[in-house]
Amino acid sequence: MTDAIIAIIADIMDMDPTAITQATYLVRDLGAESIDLLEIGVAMEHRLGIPVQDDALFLRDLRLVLRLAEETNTPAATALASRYPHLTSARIHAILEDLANGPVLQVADLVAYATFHRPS
Amino acid sequence: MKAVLTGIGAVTPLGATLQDIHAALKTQHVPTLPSPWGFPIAPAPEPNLRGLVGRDKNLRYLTRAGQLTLAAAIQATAHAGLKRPLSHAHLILGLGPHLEPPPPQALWLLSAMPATTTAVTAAVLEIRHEASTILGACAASTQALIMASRSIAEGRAPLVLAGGGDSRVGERAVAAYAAAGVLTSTAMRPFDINRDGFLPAEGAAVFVLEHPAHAAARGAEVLAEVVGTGLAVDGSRLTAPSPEAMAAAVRAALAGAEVNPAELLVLAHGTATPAGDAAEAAMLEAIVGSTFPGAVTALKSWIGHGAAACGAMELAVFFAAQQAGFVPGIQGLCHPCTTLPLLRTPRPWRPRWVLLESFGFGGIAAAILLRLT
Repeated sequence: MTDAIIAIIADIMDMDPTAITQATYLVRDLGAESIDLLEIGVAMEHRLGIPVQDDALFLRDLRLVLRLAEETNTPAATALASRYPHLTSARIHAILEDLANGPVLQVADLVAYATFHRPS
Repeated sequence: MKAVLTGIGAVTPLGATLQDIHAALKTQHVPTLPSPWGFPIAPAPEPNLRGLVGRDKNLRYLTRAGQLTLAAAIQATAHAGLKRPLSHAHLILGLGPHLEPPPPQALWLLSAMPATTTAVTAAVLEIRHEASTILGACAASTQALIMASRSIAEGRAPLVLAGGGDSRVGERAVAAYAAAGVLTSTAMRPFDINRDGFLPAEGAAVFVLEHPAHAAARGAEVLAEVVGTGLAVDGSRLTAPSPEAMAAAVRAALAGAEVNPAELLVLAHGTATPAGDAAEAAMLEAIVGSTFPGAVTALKSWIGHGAAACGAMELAVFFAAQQAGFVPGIQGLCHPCTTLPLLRTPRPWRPRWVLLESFGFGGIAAAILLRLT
């Protein structure tokens, strides 16, 4: 699944796939814009048959989820785990540590989503 | 002040560069393939965009026609010896509608819009001034050349890239033309009494046009001068040829030029449809006379019908042949339907004057007169 996701990202961004790893940040490292993420979502649906919800796949409502969690006194990790069931607890804690550095979305998050939502 | 032509880029069924087209013209072979949709087609070779552009994520929104157009535009700038950025240049492209099903993309809208080809081409060439998309059916690329020449002559632009691209070899395009009853099931025979339609094709050609002073200041080689242009429309006839519009465009292009008829080559539109060629031949006979001492050729017989791109492609094929000093004849012509001096075999000749004609659905007629240097 990792290779398939990397191939899609490389194709959409017109990049060398060997320059992309699981740890690559889509926005911070690759400069992906919203239009690029939309195309990656459609390509995952079309080529891999994975039903995609862009907000969850691209963690687009991450900061909104965190603000609501704060308002309702819910632990941040609990709120994120509920919203993004495809992410492991370790990844959620890494995201919480990484928030100040900019958009947190990594290739591994797309792989996790695709694996979690893969049609059985 | 007239516009001068200083660069050519082309991708046609005969080849992906001017050199390849030139070589293919010597083989006397029209690159025709059978298609799964019941009619022969003339596809173009791959234009090697990766080699020309490098990596660029916006290329994902280019249709086949867009890819061919961008390749031709880059070739034209290289041929003219121009360097990017071309921030003071204008870009005018004659393009057509995208008839094939949209690709599986979120923003398939961008792929469906002809203006995306213009935008991406402008971005790659770093053109920042003006960019226009002309949708004049099969006259579109000739219309683009005319608009470019007029912009230069009127002092609006010192440098314009103009031409067009199209692709009509896909299933939907072939079906659309088949429904109109204009396709041959064998081979194109322009101006032959047994002609039965055209070969759908694809390709692109882009020219660099400049103000003479701009070309002189940078020491550019001038290939030709645009001497006259003519545009006309007869919107009352959407598919039938309009002899009046054709004649008006051709007369306007020839007006005022002191052309020696013996030194004039006509690059006819020549779609090889029964009605189209009959109307064009009658129009030409009326304007140049049945004892016309020049010559008429029809280069669609070599490359098929490039639709929106046809005029620019045919002009590029003419210039490719001129590199070896000849004019290609009309392929497949056995029994002429007119007394006009049709070229049936290649003629070693450097005509002083060239009249390019393109006519499109909607009664759109475009003609441009060049004086070769």
